[in-house]
Amino acid sequence: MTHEEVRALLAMSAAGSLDAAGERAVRDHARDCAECAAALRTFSELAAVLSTRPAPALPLGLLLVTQARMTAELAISAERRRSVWIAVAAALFAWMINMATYALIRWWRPELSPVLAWLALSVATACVAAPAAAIVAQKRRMERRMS
Amino acid sequence: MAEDDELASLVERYQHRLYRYLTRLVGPGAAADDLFQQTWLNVVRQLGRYDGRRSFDTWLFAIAHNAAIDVLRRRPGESLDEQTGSWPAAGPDALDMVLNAERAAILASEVDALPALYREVVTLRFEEGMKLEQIAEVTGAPLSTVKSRLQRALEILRRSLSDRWRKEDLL
Repeated sequence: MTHEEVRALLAMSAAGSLDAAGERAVRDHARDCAECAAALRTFSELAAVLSTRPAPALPLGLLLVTQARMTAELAISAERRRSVWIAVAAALFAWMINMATYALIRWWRPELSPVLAWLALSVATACVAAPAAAIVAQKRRMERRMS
Repeated sequence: MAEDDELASLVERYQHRLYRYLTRLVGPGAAADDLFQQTWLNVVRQLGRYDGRRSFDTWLFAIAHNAAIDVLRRRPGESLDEQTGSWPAAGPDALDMVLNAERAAILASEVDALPALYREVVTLRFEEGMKLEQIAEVTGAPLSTVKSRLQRALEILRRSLSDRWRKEDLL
């Protein structure tokens, strides 16, 4: 390696970030080159001081405030997950009830047109489900506000 | 509850390292405190996306890095985005004497004066002891970029410290 090539590796050598071959090349060159040896010493001193800088003190109370906020965030996340599961379960339940009721209507009044029966059932379900969903959402909003 | 306890112990374990990293990036005070809290809140929110095979250290510091980016972008000349301008070239060699407390204090102020991009790699390499590959993961920068940032940072420090120590007769 040339002097310039080694020169470019000195900082990385002091940072301990050279591979074995690079490290060997730097050491070999520095043995015969006073300029690079001096620079390497400087970088090594810098690295030593940088590694031992005093750490800033954590402000009093920051840890507790952070942990409290994390606990609250966990509760919100859990609530969100629960809401999704409730919505999925409710949708599945409504679908099953709908299908069962449709089968019941077809059995009870076979002369009714299937399309008409299905439409009537859908309208009836929507009329019941929409206000129920609104009431549940309102209740949860109030619960969140209270907590 | 178990999740809560595990997170609490993680906060306790990493509190000093994370706070030191954030303080080096944005300076001491309210900004570092806010970022500390924001980082941990983001950890809670992104916990489901954590890949257990990855190092938690690098994942945590990457979250902190991303949180700090926005704060630093609002400060003129402090962005963590890649900069295209050139920095002063390295000067002559000088430092041969043993470092004393005064020189260390000067070094601290010189490190604080480095651009945030360089300050970050210096902190992650020397204070956090991260390998260059880990630093690349934290900062989202290519390995070659991390190498050149670290090299430039050390060159700038060496040059400016040589000048200052010489002026103050510390050499």
